[in-house]
Amino acid sequence: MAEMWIHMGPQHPMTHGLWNLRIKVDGETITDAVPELGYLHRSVEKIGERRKYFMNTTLTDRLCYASAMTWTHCYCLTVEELMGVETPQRAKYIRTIVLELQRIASHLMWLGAYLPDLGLITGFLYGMRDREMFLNLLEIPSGGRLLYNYVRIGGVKRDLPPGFAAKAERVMQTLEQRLKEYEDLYDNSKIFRMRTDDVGCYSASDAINWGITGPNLRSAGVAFDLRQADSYDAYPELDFTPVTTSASDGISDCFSRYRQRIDEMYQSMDLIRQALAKMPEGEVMADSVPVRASGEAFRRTEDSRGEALMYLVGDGTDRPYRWKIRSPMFTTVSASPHFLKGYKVADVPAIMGSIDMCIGETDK
Amino acid sequence: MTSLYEWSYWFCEAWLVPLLTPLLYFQEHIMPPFSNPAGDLARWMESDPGLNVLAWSIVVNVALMIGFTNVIIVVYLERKIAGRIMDRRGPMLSFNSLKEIASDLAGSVPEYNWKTTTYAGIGILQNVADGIKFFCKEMIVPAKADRLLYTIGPVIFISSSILLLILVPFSPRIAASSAPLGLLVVMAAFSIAPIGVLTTGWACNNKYTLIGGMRSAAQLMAYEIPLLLSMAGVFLVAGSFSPMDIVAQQQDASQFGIPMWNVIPQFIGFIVFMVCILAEVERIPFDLPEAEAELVEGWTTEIGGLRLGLTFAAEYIRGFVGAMIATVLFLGGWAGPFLPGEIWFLIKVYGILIFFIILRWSVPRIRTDQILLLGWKRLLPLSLLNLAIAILFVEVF
Amino acid sequence: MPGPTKTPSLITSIIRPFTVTIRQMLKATFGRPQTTMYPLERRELPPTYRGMNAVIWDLCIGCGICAEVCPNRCLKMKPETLDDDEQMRAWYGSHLAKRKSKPERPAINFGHCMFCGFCEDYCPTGAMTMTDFYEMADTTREGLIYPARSLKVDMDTQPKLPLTNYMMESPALHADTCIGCRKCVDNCPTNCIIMDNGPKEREKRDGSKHNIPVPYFDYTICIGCSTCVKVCPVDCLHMEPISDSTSSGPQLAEAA
Repeated sequence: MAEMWIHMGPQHPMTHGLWNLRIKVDGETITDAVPELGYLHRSVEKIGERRKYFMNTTLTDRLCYASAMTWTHCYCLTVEELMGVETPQRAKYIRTIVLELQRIASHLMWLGAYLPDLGLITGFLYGMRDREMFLNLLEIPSGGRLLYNYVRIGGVKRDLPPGFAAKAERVMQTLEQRLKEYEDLYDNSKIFRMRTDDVGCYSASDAINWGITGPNLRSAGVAFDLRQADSYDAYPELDFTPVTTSASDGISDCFSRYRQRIDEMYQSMDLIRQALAKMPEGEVMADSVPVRASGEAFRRTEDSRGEALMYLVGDGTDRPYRWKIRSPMFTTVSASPHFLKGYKVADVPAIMGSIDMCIGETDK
Repeated sequence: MTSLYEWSYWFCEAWLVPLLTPLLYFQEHIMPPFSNPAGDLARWMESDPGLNVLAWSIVVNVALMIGFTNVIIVVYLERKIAGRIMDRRGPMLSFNSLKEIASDLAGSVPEYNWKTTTYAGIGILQNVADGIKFFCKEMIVPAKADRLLYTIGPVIFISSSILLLILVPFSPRIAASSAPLGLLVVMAAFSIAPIGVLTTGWACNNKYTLIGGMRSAAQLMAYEIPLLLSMAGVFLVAGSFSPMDIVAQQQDASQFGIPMWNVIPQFIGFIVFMVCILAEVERIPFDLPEAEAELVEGWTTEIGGLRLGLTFAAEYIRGFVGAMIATVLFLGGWAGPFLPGEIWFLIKVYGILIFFIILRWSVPRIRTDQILLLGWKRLLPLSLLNLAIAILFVEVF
Repeated sequence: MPGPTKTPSLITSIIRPFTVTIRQMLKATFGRPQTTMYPLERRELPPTYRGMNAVIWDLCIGCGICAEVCPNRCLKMKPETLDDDEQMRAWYGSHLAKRKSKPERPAINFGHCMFCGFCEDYCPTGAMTMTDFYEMADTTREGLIYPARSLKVDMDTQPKLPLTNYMMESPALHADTCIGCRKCVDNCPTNCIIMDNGPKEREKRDGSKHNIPVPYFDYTICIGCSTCVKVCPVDCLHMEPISDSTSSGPQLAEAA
């Protein structure tokens, strides 16, 4: 068969969103790939420049539908730096807890979305079922299930209710049991290993050169975690080291990326337990949050998918003058042709699923 | 009467044709100046080819009915078991719930009462709803498709699948035909379908369907040989291609109430056969021709409406027939104590089908190169090994 | 903590997945599945749930902060005629405070609403609440526009949540452009403005001079709704951040 281009997207089961991957195939082997983005561009940055600072938390919620809390948190950190607001200590701990809960929920949604890519729809339902428990937890303080609008400039919306720690503990114990079950279903499954082992490989040095961050980078054995490297909130007071996995020395494949996220869930549960135990009493909102700001601020956080970065310029009014968002997935998707080439057409969903696409933040 | 075909031939010869032909002969002479084809029709019906056609049409109708009844049951089982595996309920629509839905449609607000009102049922109506949906859909032919091949491609697939049902007996009493080369013909009919798949895949003028069709052809070619070789062991032991003889041999081999079905001496053959038949009926983990993650819907992407519904039904019929062949070859067919043979046969067939269903919702799909590697490098030597064991078995006992 | 990553043996790796699924199948068949029969069973929602909005009219003072903070501009203040009973029960005499215009109540276009909850958070009196009702689907877009009266609820029906946010700015005056028209006084929903003599003088027709009255604000009562800024005909008022929200007493914010 001669070489031909196949469009995977914008409406395609592989895409998990609205984007287009053009692949050039020779029979079933991929010889070239071109990702095309921009189908979901909502000009979040520009809309944000027309709204007041506090209103933009609703926009940042919608940056990534799987991990709304982390993006709002990144925005709030940036605005706090811009305005010079000091967050109360209890709010920092609450933020840490909800961020880690959101990270687990996001990783579970990834797990759910990844298995149908490999052909196992049961995995989707299992992932969603477990995510449901964490959505229920996040719903208790915030009142929302997908778009929380919980982290606010200067703190969080409201305090965690009494009994939250016990509920969280019960949910985490259930998840630990389930993750043990999934070891049998995925790790110990011959076909799952056949589909993920040695597929979509890239080395650690390549990943650093391409700007891949987050779990995708750590799955190549690089212990780089912004929660430690550029620490924020209550993370400096918690005891943890970044989890890393790698298939062989410094090589990341689909299975190591899968394993990395599972291990990160364990680590997040550990962090939540620590934070719940150490949480001090006090206010959850700063006393006085200004409305106007000037100057510029820049902040990066460890999103569920990698390094989230925001840059804000204020001109003294109550609206940002310029707002720039750096999405971790944009760089990863841009690098995707490098680790797609040479594999089969059937590997495309397996590889593109394993990097945890979220098109909302990529297109902004 | 050993088969449904012979019974319907007899029925046509003795009852249907004698009752119909006087009417036609009467019509022939009703207006003498004009020639009337009714008499020719009657004479053709009385001849052997005419009786054959009438008998076969009865057989095909019965086979269709049996096939679709089983499709409904298998689809229902699939949905319910998939639901339970996924920690949910599966479809819950039934005749009981129609009343509430009707009152809902009529505009009156149904009064929800925890104790009395319930939409919950066993869920069998979901298939009816799906059938109605497929019936109601418009048939759209893609603009640049090859219309002729696009039209006949699915027909080849569907008709060859229904043909399969006619060739496998339920029991000595219930059999559509008693071809002496029964199972060989079944395998021949099984390998018609890839032609339909490839034709449709090419005719749709869509890259997804094209790749799906190609994959189907490659996969079925790779799995045809180990499949037949694993069956050859059974044929060798039974000394016949006829399902009747194969089952009779397994019954003879069983002694003192201990079943000595082919699955025990030829276990490797059974495993190879099950893997190959899964690939042949294109179910997960071998459903590459319609891998929905990368190929949208594979070779069925562009077909729609009732044709798509019948294609799904045909896939289930193929799965059902695959389970039937596995039962006949390896699990002793209709042999079993106390219950009638047909019941035993259905129990075994549905056992295998439930295994297929659980398998489908437990493992991911494997890759194209891996499926071919598995077929050529693993299953082919294993099936040859099984053949050697079967020869040894025949020689020693 | 992390699980094993070594490759399992062939037979184990083929059989293991089935142990999970078959166990789950039995669990869901003889036990209770995770899913709920939706129209019959419903989830228990937390009291913080952000569902459809409702306005406790007895508490509402018609200040319009909810319309001010709405990011989607889907909430508008609509003038409403209160009947006698409602007038009697209206909190803070809001219908009396806004002397010139009719009392206003929020009306929401739920087709644009994204249920962010800002209106609830910023409501100074707790009149705006979010209920746990979420089945709002309609066949027309017009059906999603809820007029003010349809959002009215009685006082006792809704849970009261602690206030979390407040407007951080208050009005300030450029006294030299003020014409003393009293519109801000008439429209202030909290009655926190009084008029008194300002710095500028004006000559009357008969030749006598008198100071032009200018508004003075009581920042302890002011809720920062910026109604006065909106109604001001000469743009002499503007919103300004107040350095310390606890500062009190009537003061005149002089323009530099």
